[in-house]
Amino acid sequence: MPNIQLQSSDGEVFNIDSETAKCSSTIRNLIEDCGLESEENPLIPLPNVNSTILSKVLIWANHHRAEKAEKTEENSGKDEASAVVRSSDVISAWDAEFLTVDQGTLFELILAANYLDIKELLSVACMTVANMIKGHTAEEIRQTFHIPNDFSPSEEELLHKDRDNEPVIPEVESSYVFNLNKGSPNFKFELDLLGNF
Amino acid sequence: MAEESVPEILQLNDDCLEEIFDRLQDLHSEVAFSQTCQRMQHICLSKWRISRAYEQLDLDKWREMLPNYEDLVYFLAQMRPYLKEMCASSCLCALLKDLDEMQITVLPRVTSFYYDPEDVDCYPSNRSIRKLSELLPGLQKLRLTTPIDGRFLSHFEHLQELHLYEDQHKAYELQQEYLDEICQKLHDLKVLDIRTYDVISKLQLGNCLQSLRNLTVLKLNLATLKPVLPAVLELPSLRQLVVLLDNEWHIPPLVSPDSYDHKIREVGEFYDIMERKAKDIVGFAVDGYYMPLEPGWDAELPIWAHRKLKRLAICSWSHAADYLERYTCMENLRLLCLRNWNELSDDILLRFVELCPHLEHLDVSYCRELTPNFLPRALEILKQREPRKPMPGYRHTAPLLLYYVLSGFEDFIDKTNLKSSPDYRGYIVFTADFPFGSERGLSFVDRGYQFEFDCP
Repeated sequence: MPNIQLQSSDGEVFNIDSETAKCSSTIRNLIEDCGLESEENPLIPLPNVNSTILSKVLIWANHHRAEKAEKTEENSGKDEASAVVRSSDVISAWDAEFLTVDQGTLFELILAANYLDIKELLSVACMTVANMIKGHTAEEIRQTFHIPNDFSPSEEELLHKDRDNEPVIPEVESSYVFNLNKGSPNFKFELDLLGNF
Repeated sequence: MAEESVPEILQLNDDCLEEIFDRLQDLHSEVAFSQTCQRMQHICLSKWRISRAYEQLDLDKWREMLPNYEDLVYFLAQMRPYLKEMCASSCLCALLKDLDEMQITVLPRVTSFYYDPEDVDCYPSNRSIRKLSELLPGLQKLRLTTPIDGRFLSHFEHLQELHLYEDQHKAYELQQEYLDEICQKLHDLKVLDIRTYDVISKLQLGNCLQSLRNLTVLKLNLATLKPVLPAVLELPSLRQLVVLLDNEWHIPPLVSPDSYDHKIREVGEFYDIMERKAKDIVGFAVDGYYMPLEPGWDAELPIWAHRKLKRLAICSWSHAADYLERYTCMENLRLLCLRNWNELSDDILLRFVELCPHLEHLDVSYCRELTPNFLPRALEILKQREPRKPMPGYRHTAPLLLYYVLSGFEDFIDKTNLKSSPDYRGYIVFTADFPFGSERGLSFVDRGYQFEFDCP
């Protein structure tokens, strides 16, 4: 089974070699669980991914398969999972360029990566969004992503509690007053403590 | 068209939003993210609630994580219903005041509070203790080692553990009336530690014992134990009794430190407990530095007839070690602590490895006479007993934990990196620490003794 066919939600069919397609755990499990290994060019429907996004996912998968083949020689003996973790800590230049898209496409790629269970793509795409959030205030984040503020006025107040607007609280008594036990051999020591204040 | 009005980011499912959250990796950004809308707040809170980093409220540490006051107040308000533990090292009164200002008046799910002040001049007032009981109504475990008289401690209605002692630093006691109140009102009390280190304790338990039916662990001074020993031993749930020998240091100015007798010659109660509870004793620990133990002290102990010992600690023994061999008949030994023995040899120790097949903890810290030869010989014994241990799929016993600080083979273990040796894997784990529940330093139990009872 060198090739498989993937059908997007809008009916378009993509022909792809099976090893590249197996970067998706969803597709890999489907092939294995349904015994499609022995079939010639099986057709797998992907009702949750449209053709635009699927084609981009396949571009990404093809690029990374080639890259992984190179890295396998360098990292022989280390398992695939650790390689995935290492590469998702930092976004490569290629991935950064690939993910320079409008927000709608970016989020659709995230959803597709989640549905297809492609951990590495999900990781770098989510990291891209996280980088747009880091270091910004709530209002700036809302503006970036057009998120409406749906907190009620009382909830909004809780978001912005600060010291200056708090009611005055009566002073708590001194922490250095405690009962003296005059029979205690340490009475003198206790007096010394109080004497300091 | 309702779909179109939903922002694209909110069309992501929760899994995807959580993946984005995981990559923010700084609490300030997470707080800002959670403040954007209700859904993000829900996502963030669900992650914070299960994070071990925020399981325990330590306000000083949280101030460092969130230097912005607004962020801190918001984060605390979100986490308030979920916090389970709290600790503090700064002034308790100031801490309570700060929480007041943040309008945090109750932390309903906190069950443990550990107060370990760094500033010794700041002691909590009674009013602070009362406020603390209102702040933590569900508290079950309280550790509070600063000088307090005990008033309002009984307000922690659900308290199960009360720890008032700090190793070698406690010089103040509760007032007797408040100790009585604590014992009479706290019906769930299971652990009580009222030891005092630097003075002879004046606390009495005469009015308390009939209320302490659920007590499983009692730690007290000998002076407190003496008048009520029979009644203490009859507590139906008692599993552990730790006795601190009282001492007041009045060393005459002209005495020589070499000839000064530091032994505390109060052994009557120790032998009395051995006699009365012989058939229930599953563990005992004794500090050989202060206890006047001479060779043969244990020859006639009634515990020999029962052989139930699972935990044994005899520390700071300065006589010959050959008499120790009699304890190898205790086949059920799980923990053996022989810390700071002057003359403990490889051969005697190997007898325990050989004859006590259930041994899990072996503490030979400060035993200078042991040699690196002990290690391969011990390994050989363990391998003969269980030859297939490191093989996968083979169900095996726990490895032997070997505590080796300043022992005769410490340097050898460190230089040859035995901790990572595949030869020892599964058989011996080397640990530069002390067994859990033991005192630090030269003795398993400091200046006194400890008993553990088999309690149905």
